[in-house]
Amino acid sequence: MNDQRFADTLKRKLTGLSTPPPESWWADIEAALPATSASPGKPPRRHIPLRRRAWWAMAAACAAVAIVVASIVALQTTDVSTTAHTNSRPAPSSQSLTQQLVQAIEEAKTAGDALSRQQTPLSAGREYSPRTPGETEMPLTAKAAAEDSEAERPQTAAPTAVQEAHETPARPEPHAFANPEARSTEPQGADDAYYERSVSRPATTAEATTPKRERASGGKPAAQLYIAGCTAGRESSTSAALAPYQMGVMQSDNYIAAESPKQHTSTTNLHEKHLPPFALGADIAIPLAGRWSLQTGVAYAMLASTFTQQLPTRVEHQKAHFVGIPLRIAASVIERRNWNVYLAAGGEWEKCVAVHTDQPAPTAPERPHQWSMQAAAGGEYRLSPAAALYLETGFGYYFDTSTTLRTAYQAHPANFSLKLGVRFSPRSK
Amino acid sequence: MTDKSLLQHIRAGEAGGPKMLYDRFAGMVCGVCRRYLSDEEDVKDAVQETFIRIFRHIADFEYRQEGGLQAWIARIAANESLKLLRAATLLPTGSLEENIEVTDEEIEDMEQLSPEELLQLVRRLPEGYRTILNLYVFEEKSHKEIAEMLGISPMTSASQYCRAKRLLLKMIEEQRAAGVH
Repeated sequence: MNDQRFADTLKRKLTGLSTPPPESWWADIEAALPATSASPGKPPRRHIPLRRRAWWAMAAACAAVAIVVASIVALQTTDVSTTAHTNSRPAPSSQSLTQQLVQAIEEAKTAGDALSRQQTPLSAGREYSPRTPGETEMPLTAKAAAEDSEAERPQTAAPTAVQEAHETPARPEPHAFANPEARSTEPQGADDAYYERSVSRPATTAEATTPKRERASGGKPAAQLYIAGCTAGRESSTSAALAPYQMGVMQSDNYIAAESPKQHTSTTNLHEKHLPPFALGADIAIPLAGRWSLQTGVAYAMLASTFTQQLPTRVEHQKAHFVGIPLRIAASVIERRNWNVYLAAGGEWEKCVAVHTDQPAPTAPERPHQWSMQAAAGGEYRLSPAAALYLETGFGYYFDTSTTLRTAYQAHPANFSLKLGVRFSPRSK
Repeated sequence: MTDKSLLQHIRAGEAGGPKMLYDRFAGMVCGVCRRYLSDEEDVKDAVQETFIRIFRHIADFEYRQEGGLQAWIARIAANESLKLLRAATLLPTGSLEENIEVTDEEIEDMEQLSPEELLQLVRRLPEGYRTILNLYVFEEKSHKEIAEMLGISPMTSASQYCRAKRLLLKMIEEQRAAGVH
């Protein structure tokens, strides 16, 4: 009974109570009044109070930032170009590009030391010049005649001669090669071309399997060595045919990688392109004290990737589907009756549930787990007292899980993402 | 000049009409806004928005009886004030606040306060309490309607109203004990 009296008393006392405003308030209201009848075509100038302008400005700024980030995410792709140096046979066509890429990366890691060791002879080979600047090439016959005098030399002298051919010519100073002018005095001949070819691996298997003799024909130093070796050693034509291989073995240090005619190298140029992940989610927000809440739920993410091999040309499209459970703390920054802007931080566990590719693979792709830490900023619009639609942009770091599945998570562990979803707030009705 | 004549004066576009309307109802509008809003800047914003909306839609208002214009203006003022309030200040509660009966002495204490003093005490209430108190007492909304307006549960609305009532009565008692009245 008294409860009603309380309400009635309060209403009676305060209804119609007049508390005059300051005189200055009318000026602002008058400035924002609708157009008078004297100027009906003039649209009314709406006065937006400063505090409401500030809130709208903040909301507009947050929306602008979200749009800019979303645009960057949409336009940005992770493009990783990986040049695979493999000493093995070219991968069979049944092997997927992703598997090739993973294999290439692993081989590159393990071959790092080997490459560095071989760099030293290479650098030595680069410094070596089979002839001094200005030296003319001896005619074949003259060279043969000169070395016929050494015909009694034992077979073993041949390597010596070869070594002498390597060593005796005055080597130009290394800086000569570094000096463009010095190099330019020498015509760009087969010397450089030969070494260039040996530096950049043969692009095709055919070129790699070409006998050394043919390969050496394009470069003067190799031709000279070949000739000197076969003549000094008194080899027959048969052995001459073998000489290139012998020469190849002796010259093996001068190549980037140990090559034998039976072993061919292949250059595989693999590119991978990953689109930023796009996620959908259904969350529950459990209110905590004040503006804080605990968010969890279910999230789905689709990671699209494209792998391109240049030689031979192959393109493989991959879509990996992840389902995850996020768990994070959120704080409302701006709150209104129907919408609010928030910040959130936490982690997520995801499981790859499906991987689809347009190229057949001999083995089923791995479907790994994925852990990540995330921070996000977003806005939500309340559809009902219990449900809200949200859009957020987030930054996440995806931990390495040593998986063979190649996605944006592995290629670019730190990346942005865009998420759209529905969030439920448990409330008693 | 009656409210009806004033309306005709304004609709005719005659000079001074808007100022006359402002002078007649600005105090009442301020009183309504100050019941909802404790911050004076918010009150100013709400008052300005109220009169802008009044003059924008005054041509659509249908005058039926004396007092109708004041009620219409008061309703606009209440709506504009609610727009500036943040629903997040209303903390959901898990259980209904125990409704302690108001005593006769408390009612008498309330009666002895002037309207201005009572208004000041209402303005000192937390924002959430104050909002629900206004909607329930002055706008005569049900707790279900309040819940739908504010995005809370009816249980929360009822609980917040009980707390508002209890706190207001406590402040009245403290003010009386302090000898201000």
